[in-house]
Amino acid sequence: MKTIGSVPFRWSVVVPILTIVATGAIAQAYETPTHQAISERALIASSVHDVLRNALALEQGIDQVVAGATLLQWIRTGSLREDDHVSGTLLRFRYHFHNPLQPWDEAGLRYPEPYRGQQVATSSILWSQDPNQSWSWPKTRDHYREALTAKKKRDRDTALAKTFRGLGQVIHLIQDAASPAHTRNDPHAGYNYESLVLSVQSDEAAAFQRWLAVPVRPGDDWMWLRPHLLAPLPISRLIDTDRYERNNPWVSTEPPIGLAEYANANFFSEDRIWPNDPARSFPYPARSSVLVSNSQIRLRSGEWVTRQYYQKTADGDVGYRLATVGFLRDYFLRYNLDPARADSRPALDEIVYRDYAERLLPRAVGYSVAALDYFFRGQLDARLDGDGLVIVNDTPGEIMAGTFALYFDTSDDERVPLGEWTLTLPPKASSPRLTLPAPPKGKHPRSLDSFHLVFRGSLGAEGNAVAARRLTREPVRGVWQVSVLYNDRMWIDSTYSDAIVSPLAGLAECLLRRLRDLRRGPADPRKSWAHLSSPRRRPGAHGDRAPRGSL
Amino acid sequence: VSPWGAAFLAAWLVGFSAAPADAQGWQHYLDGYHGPYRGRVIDAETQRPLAGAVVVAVWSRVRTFPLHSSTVYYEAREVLTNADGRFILHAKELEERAPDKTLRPTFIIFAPGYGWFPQFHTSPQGFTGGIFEGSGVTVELPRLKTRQERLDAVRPLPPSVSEGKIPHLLRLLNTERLGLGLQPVGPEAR
Repeated sequence: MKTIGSVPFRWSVVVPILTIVATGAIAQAYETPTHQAISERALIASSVHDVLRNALALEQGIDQVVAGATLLQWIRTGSLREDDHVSGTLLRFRYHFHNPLQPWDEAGLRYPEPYRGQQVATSSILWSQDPNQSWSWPKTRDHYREALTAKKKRDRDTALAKTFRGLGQVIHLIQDAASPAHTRNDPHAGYNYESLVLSVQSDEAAAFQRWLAVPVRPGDDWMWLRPHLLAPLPISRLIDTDRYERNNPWVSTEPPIGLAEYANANFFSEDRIWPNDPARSFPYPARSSVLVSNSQIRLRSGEWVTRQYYQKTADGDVGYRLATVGFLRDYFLRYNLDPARADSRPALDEIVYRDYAERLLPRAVGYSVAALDYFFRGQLDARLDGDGLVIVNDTPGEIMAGTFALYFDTSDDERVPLGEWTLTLPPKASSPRLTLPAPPKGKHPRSLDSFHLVFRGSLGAEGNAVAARRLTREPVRGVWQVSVLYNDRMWIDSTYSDAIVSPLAGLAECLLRRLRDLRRGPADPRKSWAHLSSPRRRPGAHGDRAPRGSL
Repeated sequence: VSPWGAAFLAAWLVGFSAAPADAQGWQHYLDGYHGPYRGRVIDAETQRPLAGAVVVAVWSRVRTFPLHSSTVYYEAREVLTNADGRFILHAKELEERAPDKTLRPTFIIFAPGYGWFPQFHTSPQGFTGGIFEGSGVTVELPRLKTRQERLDAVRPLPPSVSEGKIPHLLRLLNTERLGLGLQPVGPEAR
């Protein structure tokens, strides 16, 4: 039978459609403009800009334009497209739910209730790690590897755009875990939390930006939690750490904690407010979690009114209005309607939603930042040691085990593999001295800053990680000229404003030696040299060929 | 009609009838023509008019799919401010023809070197829904003092709308980007 995720196609489509007819339910998430704003803010607050500039030498970082748009725009595109309805996967939003109180293979959207009925899509955690869906974390990793290693520049640019679109789609799922309805199995129709957030975004931009301004991050401990068998990539712990287990809501404010656990334990969604039906109820927030208090509320008309709220005072996060007290009863009384017809069930109003947003949106940003930083966390270095290359694992606390490949770019932007080594490097460990092969015949580096070292393999608990470093480090203030002459042919001749003395000068020497050994026999020492100097002291031009690097 | 088709149609219809509405009184949906949209754009410090600033109106609509509704881009229009910093944006035909559940427009006002509305403006404060309807308001934009401030300001632009609808915005944005040493975006980037 054809399946989507792990759910049979027949049920995954038929059940929700039939059920909607019966219930009138509509799934709500943060609106796509809200997702875009959260992702944009997260990317700016992350370390990605610096990684792109420093490790990959993409000078404009997240403002770099590839495939017609900036990387920031591409991540916004991903956050928009994860809510696609018909392109790619039908009704993608089905996969945006995770109930942290269910086993993960049963934690997806379930009709009609959280604890009975048919699961119609897998949990958002499993969806984000499903290698068979187009915009999962593993697929995004593949795009990133392609962006670093593809032969043609156009292919590399396209893959980099896809990398950021994929990241936008993955963090969309994390952001949805900061929407209580998505953690309480509550597809709800009508005005709701997400509607309020979009209204504020549209008409009170300053207030909305304040919600996003100071991200609440998850700390670092989530990375080291034991991997879950069904979704072994550590990013799953950003949504669910498996620490909140129905009866311990206090852990929901103690890191590490998943965003879905925090949202589930501390907030209501519209159709999950202390229902009497145990099949629809969640243990927290409980009636013991609140006290009734009065709040002075200013209506948009300017009128001040007193309204009663359930103030959250225990069992996890505290200090905000969780729900109204008898909102409908008050309404009925105010307009002289029959009080007997009033539903005394608590409700969620705009004031409540604003209190929710103050707590949930900073976490949506902060947890998205954590995922982005995690994606680009791999750090490696390389230095020349005599005629060889030494690679260093600079990633804090994580072992690198896999292949390290060295590439260079030619003058027509072709990326050429130069050598590849399989290594296991504990943190801060260095490789043995690796012999540099000669460049393929007819392929020459465009310049000394066109060398890339790309890692692919296990990085800590992530099995298929990618990390890279462009070999342009150790900036030296000043202008430098790097020149390599081989038998009277100028092979490299470039000027650098923040140039590198080492390892690049050494790398040039090594490659020159390899050329000599491989092709043309001994270099004529009068016509061959590798040199680094100030342009004003350019060798040859002023007759002061320096001894450094000369053969 | 097959049983599948009937189920799909029913879900679609139920979805339309259940589209969200604001509980607080502000009517987000267009219910006819709300324009023309008027305003004046000035420098927050000098109080002088900003001529040639671009004003972009963006209409979105709530699209309801089976089981799910989503707010998506519908249309955009732009206009430049005149020598006195004033603008009038007409969209009668657009709004009268807009499909059901189209929202009232949101606005972006941008001038190179300035923080843009609605994220950086200094006046008016607070709720900005509908402020350009009727006689409109004066919007004060702050001149950005440092390169970093200008970089932070241009990053979120342009909005996710059809590029062909916002040539003035793209031109002014690229003026700013090039002035900051950034690559252009939009058609120029290709």
